[in-house]
This record gives sequence, C-alpha cells and structure tokens, in this order.
Amino acid sequence: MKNKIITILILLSLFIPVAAFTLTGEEIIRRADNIQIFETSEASGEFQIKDRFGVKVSTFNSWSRGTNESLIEFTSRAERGQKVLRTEDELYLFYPDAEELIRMQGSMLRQSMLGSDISYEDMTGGKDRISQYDVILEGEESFKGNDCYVLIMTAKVRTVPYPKEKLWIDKETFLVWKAEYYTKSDRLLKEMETLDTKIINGRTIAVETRIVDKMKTDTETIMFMSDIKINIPIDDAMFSLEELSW
Amino acid sequence: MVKKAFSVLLLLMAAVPLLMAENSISIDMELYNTVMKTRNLAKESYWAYAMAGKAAVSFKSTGNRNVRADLAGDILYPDSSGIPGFILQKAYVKAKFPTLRLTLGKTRLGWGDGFVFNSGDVIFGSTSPYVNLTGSEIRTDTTWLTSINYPLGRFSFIEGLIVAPEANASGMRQIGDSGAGFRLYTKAGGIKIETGYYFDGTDNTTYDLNYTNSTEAYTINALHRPYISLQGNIGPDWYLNSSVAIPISNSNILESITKDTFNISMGLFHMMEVGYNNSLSFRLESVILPYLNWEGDEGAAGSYAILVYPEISLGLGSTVRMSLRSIVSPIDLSAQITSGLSWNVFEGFNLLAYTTVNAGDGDDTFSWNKSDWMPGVDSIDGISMMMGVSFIY
Repeated sequence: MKNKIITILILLSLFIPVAAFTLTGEEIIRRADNIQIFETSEASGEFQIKDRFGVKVSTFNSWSRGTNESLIEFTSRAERGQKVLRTEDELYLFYPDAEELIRMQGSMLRQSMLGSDISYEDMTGGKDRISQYDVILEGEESFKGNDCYVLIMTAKVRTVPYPKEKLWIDKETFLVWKAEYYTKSDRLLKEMETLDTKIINGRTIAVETRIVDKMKTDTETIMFMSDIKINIPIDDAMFSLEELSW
Repeated sequence: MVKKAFSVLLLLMAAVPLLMAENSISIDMELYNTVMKTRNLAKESYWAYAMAGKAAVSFKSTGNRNVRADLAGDILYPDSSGIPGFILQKAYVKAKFPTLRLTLGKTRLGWGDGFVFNSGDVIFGSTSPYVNLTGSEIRTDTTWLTSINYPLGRFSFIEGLIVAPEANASGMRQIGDSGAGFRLYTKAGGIKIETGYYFDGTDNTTYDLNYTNSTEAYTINALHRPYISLQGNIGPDWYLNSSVAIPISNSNILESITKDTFNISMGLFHMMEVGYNNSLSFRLESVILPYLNWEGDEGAAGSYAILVYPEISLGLGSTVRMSLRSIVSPIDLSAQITSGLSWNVFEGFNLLAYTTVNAGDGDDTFSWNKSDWMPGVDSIDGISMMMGVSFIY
C-alpha cells in the first residue's frame, strides 16, 4: 500500500511541473503584449498601402517611452513635418503649413493612421487587451514551421475595433505570427501576418507585417520597421509640445 | 557681360544638386474646371467657365537639426490680364536654442482653437463669415513677425511676438503701427488653457471692426486685444474662445467699440466609426458677438450677432471623403453650403469636386441674387461648381 502511494505521488509529481508551467490564454496575451512594450524605443517606419491603382507609400520616424508616450513625425512628401504626440489620454497634432497645434482626446485615438489599417492607439501603445477581451486558449498549431498557441479573443467592450480575434502566438518568443479579425457574426474582416522578424535586445520583434483587408479585393497594407533602437536614453523634451511644434 | 552672366548661370546650375541635398522641395498643384453663375461689369448675370488653380511651392531646409527654414509661395492661375499671380506665403527661419526658440520672417502663428471661427486668433482674425470652404485649411494668412517661444515644462509655454507694420498711405512703416503680444499656453485639470494679449497698432482695422454697427466713421489708431481659449473633452472635444478689441484713442467711443467687438467662439468635434472601415466626423462651431444685431435688418448683412458652422464628413475606407460644410446666418436665415468629394487615387494625387450654393435673399449675409453686387469684388452669384485634381510631388 505504501509503495502504491509513493508510486502515485511520484507519478503526480511528474505532472506538477507541467501543470505549473502551462500558460493560460491571458498569460500568453500578457507576454505577447510585453514583448512590444519598451522603456524607450526609436525607429523608422514605412507603410505601403496597395490597391488596384498601385502603391501609396508613407514614411515616418517614431519615438516612444513606456506604453503611453510617443511621438511620430511623418517624413513622406505629402505629409512631411506633420507630427502626432500621444500621451496617456490625449493626442496633440501639429500641422506645419498652418503652424497649428491641435489637442484632441477621446475618439481620435482610435482613428486610422494615414488611411492605413493601423490606428494611432495600435501604433503608439496604450494596449490593455486583457481588460478588453475574454481570452480562450484554443490549442496549438504550427505556423510556417513555428510552434504556436492558438487563441480566441472575444471583446468585452464595444470600444475595440474588432469584436473577435484569432491569434497564432509563438510558443518560444511570444511573437504574433498571424492574426485574423472577425465581426461578431464570425465574418473574416482582416488578416495580419508577420513576414520578417529581428532579434533586438533578446526580443523577437516583427519588422515586416502584412495586413490584408478581406472585404476588398487586391488591397493590403505592408508595414516595415527599420533602425529600431530599444531602451536607449531619450530626452524628456522629446515628448513635449516644444518638440512637437519644432 | 554676357560671358559673365553665363558663368554665374553655370555656377548656379552646378550648385543645384548641393542645394537639393540640404532642402526638401515640394509642389502642391491644384487645378480646377470651374463653372459658376457670375455677373459682368453691367451687373448682368451669366454662366462663366474658367480654369482655376495654384501651385504651392515650398523649399524647406532639412540639413540642420537646430535651424529650420521655409520659403513658400503660391503661383496663381493667370487672371484676365494673362499674368500669373504670385503670393509669398512663407519666408522664415527658426532657430532652437537650449532654452528658447526664435522665429523670424513671414509665417503664421496659430493662437486659439477653431476650424472656421476662432475668437482667440487675435493676430489674423477668424470671425468673418466670408471664407472659402473648399480647402483643407480655412485660415492661412501669414505676416512678417519675430517671435520667441519659451517652454515652461512639457505641456506649457509662453510666446511673445512683434509684428512688423505694413506701409501706410505715405509709404512709411511707423513703429506705432506695429503689433506686439504674448500668450501663455498650459494645461490644468484636463483642460487646455491659453490666454494672451495682442497690441494691434496697424491702421488696417478691417476685421472685427467691420461688425461695428455704429453709423459714424472713426479712426482707430490702435487696439488692445486680450483673449482666452479653453479646450477639453466631454465625449466630443470642445473648445471655447473669447476676445475683445479695446481702442486706445477716441475714448468717447471706447465703450461702444469694446462692446461691438466682444466675441465668443465655441465648437464641438467628434469622430466615430460607421460600419466597416468608415468614419463619420461632426463639427459644430459658432461665433457670437452679443452686442450686434439680433434681428434681421435691411443692409445689416455681415453685422449680425451670431454665425454657425456645421460640418459633416464621411470617410469611406481610406481613400474617399465626402463633406458637407455650411456657414449659416440664423438671424437673416441665409447660408453658404459647400459639398465636397475627394478621392485619393494615387500617391499624392486626388480627384476633387466641390459645389457651393448661396441661399438667401438679395440683402442677406449670403444670397442667391445679391442686390448690392460689386464688380471686381464679388465673384459667385449664387452657385459655383469645381472639378479638378491636386497632386503633391
């Protein structure tokens, strides 16, 4: 009897580490979000918005600090010099031609940036997906040779852009390799795929992503990030009205 | 002599690539086919067709992190003389020192808040109802100025400026005709607070004072223009501005002019998602001059106490935008209504269409058949339609 109990205990103990290290859906999302949050960052970026009339290219430089502070300066010809300063709950826009400084709050934060499929909120942090979505770990799958968790996120609030998302998240790096965005009635709206990555400061970061609008034919947005620098010293004045209007 | 000029030309041509390396050159071309109802010199109405447009050329410096400059002008479609017009829009240099920023030259300073009506814009004036609603920016006036901007933290600053006087009738630029002022911009309890003062010494008092309902003519040598501007969010973003023009001389009419020029502008703006990938934005602005006319009166157009600007704009996907803008004069029940459509087809290239209709009686603020038509001043007699393109390259 004693031996039997010991055998059961040993068998149970074999399972304990597995149970202890099995991640919940929320924890996976938290880790996926965390690899995108830096103390500070600096990068250059490019949007290629493709449709049946050709490609429109917009370029920008960005600086961020934590989850709530960022500055984006557009460098492409049509928008050159326009800047966006994001703080926790407000957005400042600067239009150099009009020398106009505009402060906005609320709804503007969720608007699309430069007509792309990415909002100011997406671009500049401020993500809190755990409080906005119910997360279910649906299973595991291999995506392009990478072992991934497959998660379903269903919106708890109406202020998110998509009521339902399905994500393929790398089991090792917690990079989102693929995402599908659905309506409430499970109609596929958009599909995001990571095309290229780079390891910076030990983190795997997407440097080329493609977003395909499934409601339209022949349209996609490709975003490239380059010259990424993480956790570098950035002057406090970078996230100020002085820098915005310069 | 010819040889010398040729040498200079060759040197300039050789320098162009070097200049290009330190500059960003952009040209924003807008060209329209315009059909409108107008009148000839005998004030007889007829339908006119014309090309119209401009090329906005800008040379911006890019080489120096601490010094910026812009030389920009509009080349306008030729008028009846056949000669293209030219307006120098900007010619300034800005320098960023460790503790302050200096701007010198021809440029604009955006004081106060408001898209069409802005009582805080005491330098240029943004309360007139007569504006072109087809542009993405409504108020674009610039002037020759010197300004210093001194940061007081990340979201606060003070700014001082001196505006150079325009030449008077004798061709003199008198120091007393200058403008000078300052503003404080800060944030408290989630609300942006901006307040300032502008000494308006210019002889050209054509804006706020055109509302003065006095029948006598006065010479105003200078005006004090204090203002305040607030902005916050209550679901929609809101803004509220107020200013007044207090004459320095002619103290016997001080109270009358001060009351007539006291004005308040306010606005609401909200943007929302509509359906899939579309956005709908609403803007509602108003300017109130409480001591002017609250009742419709023959010949009182332009001096009524309230004007309203409603705007609805629908963005279809990322490339098509439709808008409906209007300036409404509620006292005489007249309005200027402008509908617009823009389609961003290729990179930097847009197809544009606008229709502007004036609705009102002959002596209203806006009228389909203006009774006191002034050849050379008035252009649209009731309706105009524009179709064209814009291209930034």
